[in-house]
Amino acid sequence: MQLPRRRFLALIGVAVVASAAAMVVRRRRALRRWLRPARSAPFPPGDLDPPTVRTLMAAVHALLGERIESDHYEDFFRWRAAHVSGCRSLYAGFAASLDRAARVSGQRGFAGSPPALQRRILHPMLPVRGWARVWRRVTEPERTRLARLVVRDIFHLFARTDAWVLTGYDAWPGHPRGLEAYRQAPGQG
Amino acid sequence: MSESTVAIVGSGIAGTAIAHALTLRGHDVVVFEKGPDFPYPAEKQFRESVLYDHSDPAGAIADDLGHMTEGNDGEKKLLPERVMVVGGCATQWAGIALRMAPRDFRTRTLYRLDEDWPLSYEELEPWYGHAESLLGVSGTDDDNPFAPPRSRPFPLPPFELSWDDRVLAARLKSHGIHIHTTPQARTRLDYDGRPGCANIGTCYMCPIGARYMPNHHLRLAAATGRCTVRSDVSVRRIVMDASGRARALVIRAHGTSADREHAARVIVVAAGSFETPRLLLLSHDARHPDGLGNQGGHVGRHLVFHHLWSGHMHYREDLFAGRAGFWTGQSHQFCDPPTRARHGGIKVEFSTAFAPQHEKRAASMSSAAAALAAFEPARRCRRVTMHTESDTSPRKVVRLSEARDRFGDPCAHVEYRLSEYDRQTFRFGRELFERVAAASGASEREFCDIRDFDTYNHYMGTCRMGAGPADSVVDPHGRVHGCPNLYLAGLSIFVGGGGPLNPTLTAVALALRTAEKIAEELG
Repeated sequence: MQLPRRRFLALIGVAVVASAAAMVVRRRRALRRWLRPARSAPFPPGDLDPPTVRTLMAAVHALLGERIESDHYEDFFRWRAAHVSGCRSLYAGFAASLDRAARVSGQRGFAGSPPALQRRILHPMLPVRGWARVWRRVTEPERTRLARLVVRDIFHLFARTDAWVLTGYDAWPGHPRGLEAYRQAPGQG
Repeated sequence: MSESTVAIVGSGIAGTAIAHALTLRGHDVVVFEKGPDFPYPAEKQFRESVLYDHSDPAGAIADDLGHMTEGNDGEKKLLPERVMVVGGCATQWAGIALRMAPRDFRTRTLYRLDEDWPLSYEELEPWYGHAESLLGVSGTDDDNPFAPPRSRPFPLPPFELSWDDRVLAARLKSHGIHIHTTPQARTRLDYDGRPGCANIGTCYMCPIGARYMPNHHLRLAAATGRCTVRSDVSVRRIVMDASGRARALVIRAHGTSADREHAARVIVVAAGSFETPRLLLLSHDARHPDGLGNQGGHVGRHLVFHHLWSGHMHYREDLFAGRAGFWTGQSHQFCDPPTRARHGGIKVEFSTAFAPQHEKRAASMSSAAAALAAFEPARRCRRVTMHTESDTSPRKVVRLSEARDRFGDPCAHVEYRLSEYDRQTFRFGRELFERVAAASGASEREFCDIRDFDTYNHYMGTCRMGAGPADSVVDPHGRVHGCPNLYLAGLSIFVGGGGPLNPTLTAVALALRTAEKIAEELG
């Protein structure tokens, strides 16, 4: 029996794809281990050390600029590190990766680096969409994790707080705003 | 075996109202709650959820104990909405406290819709007043020509319309649409040991107790020494005696390995419209083979949601909505349209609560400038919600599921599919939205899909009240037909949905009326 060439190639293609899929399914644990970077044992919840806080806050300013109020970001990191399992390790890992990248560029650490370098270091951690996101998940799983967990939280906190004031609101929700201002025209309350 | 004069299953707003009223009259009450404790005021929860974006797993019920199954054609997922903690759903409610209109008690007679209630607005009116006093409702009817009659004023002055409400109200008025203030269980001034609202703006988690939570009265009831709240306890069965009276509850404290009985002279089940019928069905025995109160086959039937379809209206000028976290403007003008027999009435809610999609969009950006650009349109946007009436249908039911909890008891199964009446109501709501948007000068607007509705946990029916067992589960006092010392309370005893208005105040008024009846019976 003779197969037409086109059909033969199609069958070969299907077989290759099916074999690859079967291998991925069978070896998924090993693949996951290979894709996931080695991590040190997590710290228990507790206080963040001052260098970590410095680096985190430098990252906040590098991402959001200088017009924000910074206290609630520091409070956010400190509270979560002290109360939420895994957060202290996450923040320490995030800060260490930024400091490491800064040292590669000849700086003593991220916090003291020039703003342009800080932005360059953070750039690969910024949210991306579509295929770029998929590609980054495969090729840079650790950066993806940090972007997802730390950088996203920074932007999320910004959206819930400073973004209100920077777009013209008197205050953001979460602290007493009184019962007068909301009844007045904006800026008159 | 433990015992008390009264045992209440469920610590939500209706169960708490009864517990508080009976302890004040000198009766000892034990309240069983399946969920964990919920500290009050909710300062800890506020800090965690609002400031630190964290949800403490210790504050949530175990998955299997809070589980239920659904057959809803993907129209609505109810499971994520469940709030099972001490205080129930009203730990996280909006606080809107409205009376049903007199016509809402007579929908069969007036509109051929569902059944008439076995009691009238006039009979319930004094209890509405008691309920408003209990919850500390701030409001006025002075600006609402559609409000039902009342025999006493609101206990607190109203929350005034916001500036952006007034801008829209002026435009809408010229097109014959009337916006008025919203009565709400939120303290305009200090009240009953609760501080006045400070407009913190995160009303779903009020840290100071300005927005009413049942935990306030549970604490007061406990302070009398006659009320105990037992959290993390599942009530598995109601045990009946040979004479047909409820004798005890079979309870299981979570983390223990044995059931115990808790005896009581009166038992009240106030566990919501899913768990209440489930417990009645689970408690079947030789005398009640189909479950308690189910002689007529009505347990679990007549489930009704309020469907809340929302839209957003965008304007060219800044409105700065969201400067008040609570609800301010709404309109009851369309609750009783001339076409009500064909579709439901609608309450139009001009929520000043900030539309969270702008925050969400801003949070997904990769620079501050992009985040601000994503957030900035919020200044010119208003959200409007069509709070709609629905009908009963054979495809809206609660029954026992194939799935079981850790004790082997079947979970509740909810089947809920929109009816033709609902589809007509959606069309009416969409037309109304278009009318409001055009009249208020919106430059752009979008309205949600019919499947994309909220319920605000307004699940009514499943154990409806009526004249007798042939057409209902309980009598007008909430007493289960054929079980003289077993009462139900909460939204489950509603007859249909009770119209388009928020049902919680009615549930509390009915509960206080039930408490009075129980107190009479206990002597």
